[in-house]
Amino acid sequence: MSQLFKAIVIDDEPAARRLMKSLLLEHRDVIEVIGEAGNGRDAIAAIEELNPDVIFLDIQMPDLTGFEVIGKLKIKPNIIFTTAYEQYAIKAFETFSIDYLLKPIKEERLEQSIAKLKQFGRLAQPIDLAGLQEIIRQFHVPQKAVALPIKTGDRINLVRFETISYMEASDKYVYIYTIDGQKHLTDQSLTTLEEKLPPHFYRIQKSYIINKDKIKEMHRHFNSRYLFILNDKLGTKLTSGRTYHDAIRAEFGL
Amino acid sequence: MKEPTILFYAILITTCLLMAMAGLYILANFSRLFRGRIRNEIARKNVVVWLAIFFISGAMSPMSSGFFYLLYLKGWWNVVLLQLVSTTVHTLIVYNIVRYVATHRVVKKLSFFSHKLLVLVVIIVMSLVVNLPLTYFVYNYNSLFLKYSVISCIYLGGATGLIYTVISYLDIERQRKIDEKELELSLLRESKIKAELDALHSKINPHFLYNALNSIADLSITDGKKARKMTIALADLFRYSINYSNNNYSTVKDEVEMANVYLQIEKIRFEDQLNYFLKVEDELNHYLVPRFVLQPLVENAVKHGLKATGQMTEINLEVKKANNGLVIHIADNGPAFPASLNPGYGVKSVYDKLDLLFTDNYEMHFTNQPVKQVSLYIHKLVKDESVV
Repeated sequence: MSQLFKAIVIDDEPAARRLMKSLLLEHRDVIEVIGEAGNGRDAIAAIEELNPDVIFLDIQMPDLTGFEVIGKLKIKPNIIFTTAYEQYAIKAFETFSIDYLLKPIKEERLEQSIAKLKQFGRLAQPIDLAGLQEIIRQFHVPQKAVALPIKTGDRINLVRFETISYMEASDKYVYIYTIDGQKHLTDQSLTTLEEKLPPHFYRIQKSYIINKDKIKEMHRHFNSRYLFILNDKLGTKLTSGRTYHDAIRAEFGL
Repeated sequence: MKEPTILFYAILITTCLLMAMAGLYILANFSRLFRGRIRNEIARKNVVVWLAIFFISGAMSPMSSGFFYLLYLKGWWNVVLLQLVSTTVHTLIVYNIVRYVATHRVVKKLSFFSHKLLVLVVIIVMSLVVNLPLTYFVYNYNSLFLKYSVISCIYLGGATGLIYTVISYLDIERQRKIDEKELELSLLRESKIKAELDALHSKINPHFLYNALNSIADLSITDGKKARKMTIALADLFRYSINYSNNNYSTVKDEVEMANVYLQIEKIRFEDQLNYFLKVEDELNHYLVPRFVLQPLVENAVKHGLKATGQMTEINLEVKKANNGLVIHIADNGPAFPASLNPGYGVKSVYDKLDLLFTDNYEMHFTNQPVKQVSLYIHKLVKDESVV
């Protein structure tokens, strides 16, 4: 006697859930859809409550990603990921031979997954948590920051890194100078900023961080200092701090 | 005076060669010398000319036998003194008058050769005016030397004029070459901008396309009308993003229409969990904006509203006049922009396009109060000329 698998369909798009359910209707002798969810939290609740044998899980959802949903589950059903296209995810799926369906979903491909399910009762190996974390890590390649948000009153100004020439600490504030000669003020400290900024921003003195991409010339100055001439509208000249001498030499390979 | 020795000749020749080299060096660096030290242009040029005349004429004087006669007549110190006086007089009078004539507005309008010819004549006349009394005085009022002086003035003045003509000609040539390079560079820059814009265009998220197609796959069975609407909207959006071929600009009207098409698709996908309102002042419809700046901003609003919360989301797009330009507000009722706002690829591409096409003529603000919205100000209004 063949087993009937209980399934939950999870997707933030109603039409996508409907499509999956109607496709699964063709396989009602193998799969019975017992529930659905439109976001990650509802999905976890439904899974814990209904204890399905298999879930069809969308990866990109408003509140949680499909990976985060799995991480929070106490029970481990079979998982078939559904995804529109995500290079990182697909690469990870293939590495860990996890079943996935690409959107728009092909009936033949779905049949394959179901055939496997029917034959072995399980899909591939269960997902190990370490592997999953690896996927999450890969999937969550942090979005590369491109700008520095600066809050002025209720307004947030985005100052793009490529337009910044240097930053100067003054009292409790930091002035951010752009290459076209504009000046922005932020109440974050230079050290806080230093941590947030991409590596081409470089501290040359207690009160200066410069954009290495905007250095026009560097001169040896007296007293273990360097003179930096920046490639901005004003041709700004800044001298490095004495204590930064060795670090600067190492940084610029001098 | 006794016979000059070999040593005397050696010293004389060496001095003259050194002076000639110094003089040529000064001529070669005419416009650069003392630039930092002497601010006043006229004073600086006078100093440089004085040095040039002093060294070159000093180097050339032993060529004439009159020099040795003078040496015999007056002695070393007086000859050097005479040289200094003559250089000073020539610089102050001849150079400045020639300069005045050569740079005069009326004279400058003459053709290249008439201009040079006039300068040549002025040089000769002026050096005669200066030299004749000087010679007359120096050679003890002996009028015989005046005739020679006239000839040598014409000869030297002519030579100077010719050198001047050649240098001016070379200058013009060099300037022409620099201009050509400039032009080449600006063409290069233009094509670089074009290439950059090409790279920025047509970046509709592939994710969006595949998800939309997946929805159509369902709608084609459950709701044929919606499926048709969505297919047409997708086609419009992609046509707009692919056919940018020769235009980096688009009109406010087209941009708003594409935002509308995009929102239509999202509204169908999320089954009316999305509401949106578009409001555009009619007169602004035909102004130009960079192509494809609205869609990424609207997509962002959908992402921050609908997709981040899964709740009913409302988006308001408004285009209106502001000061001398226009402003586009895109508001959504999603959670406030965080202080650590990190723009994605879409917003970055909007900035890049604006940087290239509306350099210094735009501003983009993210505000949370009184409404959460992105505001794009365009300070330079350019009308689409293809529409009458």
